[in-house]
Amino acid sequence: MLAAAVRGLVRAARRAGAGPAAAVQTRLAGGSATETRPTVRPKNEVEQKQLCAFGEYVAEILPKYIQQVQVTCFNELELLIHPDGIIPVLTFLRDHTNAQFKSLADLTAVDVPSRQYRFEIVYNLLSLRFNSRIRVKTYTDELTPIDSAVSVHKAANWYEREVWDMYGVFFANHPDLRRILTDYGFEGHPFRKDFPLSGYVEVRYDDEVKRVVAEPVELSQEFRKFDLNSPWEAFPAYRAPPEPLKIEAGAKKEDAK
Amino acid sequence: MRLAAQSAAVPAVPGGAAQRGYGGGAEEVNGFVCFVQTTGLVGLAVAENPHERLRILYSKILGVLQNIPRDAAYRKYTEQIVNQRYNLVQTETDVQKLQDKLNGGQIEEVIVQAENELSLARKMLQWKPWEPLVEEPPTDQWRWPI
Repeated sequence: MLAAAVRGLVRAARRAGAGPAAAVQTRLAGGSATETRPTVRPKNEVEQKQLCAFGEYVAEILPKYIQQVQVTCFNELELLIHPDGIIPVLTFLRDHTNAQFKSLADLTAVDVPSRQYRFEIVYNLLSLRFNSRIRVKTYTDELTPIDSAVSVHKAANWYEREVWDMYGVFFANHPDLRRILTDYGFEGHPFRKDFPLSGYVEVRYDDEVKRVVAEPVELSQEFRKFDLNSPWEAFPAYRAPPEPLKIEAGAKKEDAK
Repeated sequence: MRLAAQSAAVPAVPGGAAQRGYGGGAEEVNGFVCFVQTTGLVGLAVAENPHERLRILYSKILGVLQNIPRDAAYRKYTEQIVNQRYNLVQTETDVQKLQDKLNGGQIEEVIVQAENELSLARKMLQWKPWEPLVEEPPTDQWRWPI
């Protein structure tokens, strides 16, 4: 809906807006004021406006499936849609005269275990006619199948096999969904966040049985997890608002005794 | 609404496709005099009567769009595009000039695009994407950083 789309755009605008520019300028108060942030990419207002306009256009045509539209600060348009709308949205983007995103550049997944629908499927499309890109994102969990994009873009075939192999996301109506990168008897989905870095099995050649055997992994040194967070605040612009203190009704009376 | 500024970034149809492969002269093929030998694109044959084909396709698209509710944005914008192109096809008889005015690549590519738009319109009738949102996402689904 348009409200959701505008919400998303405002959020993006806020994200893309003036960061800690004031801090930089005070530091350079003594020097020349012409070039304040030479290492930061200059904002391309025209492209951002065009992408916003196109995002609103698509959101107006497909309100049934599009939940949010956002434009990142480096001018990338993203459509966030409901999983039922994969095939309609991709077909629209491929066939409509003002869209013509004929090329599927990439199909991946992102695992965020803390969410209810942990996997986020990402489709990157390229329009050769208009020289522009768009990203379409959906969500699913481990057990819910998602419609295969093979009927819309043939290129999705191996990408979906890879997502199935690495994350365990099942694609309905895929012509040939089987493993593509892992070993033949491999169990598990390696790119999930709960799959350990060294895996569960290791393989070695056993001379007695004259073949390769798989055994549980034995590490000579236990896994070292380094805490790489620096003690200083990294993103002052993205501070979470402090939680308001909640005082429960009964507690204070008991303390007063 | 076309991203006109962005389409200008693509040079006017690169490579040999700008010229329609004009051969030594006119050659008779099946009774039609064909001035053009090739489109320059693999698998895309030269269309012998592009105006007629486009006229048929655009009228079919408009016919399919009649079944969509009048206030749907898809119908509004697609009718706008199709009517604009239809008028250009009817007023301009020269193929080369029509290609330039339509600004959508070669005339055969325009025909392919019209066929795609027709199939899309037929599918839109079944999907009905103008209805309100089917389901809201969970609150933290699209929050980033987590």
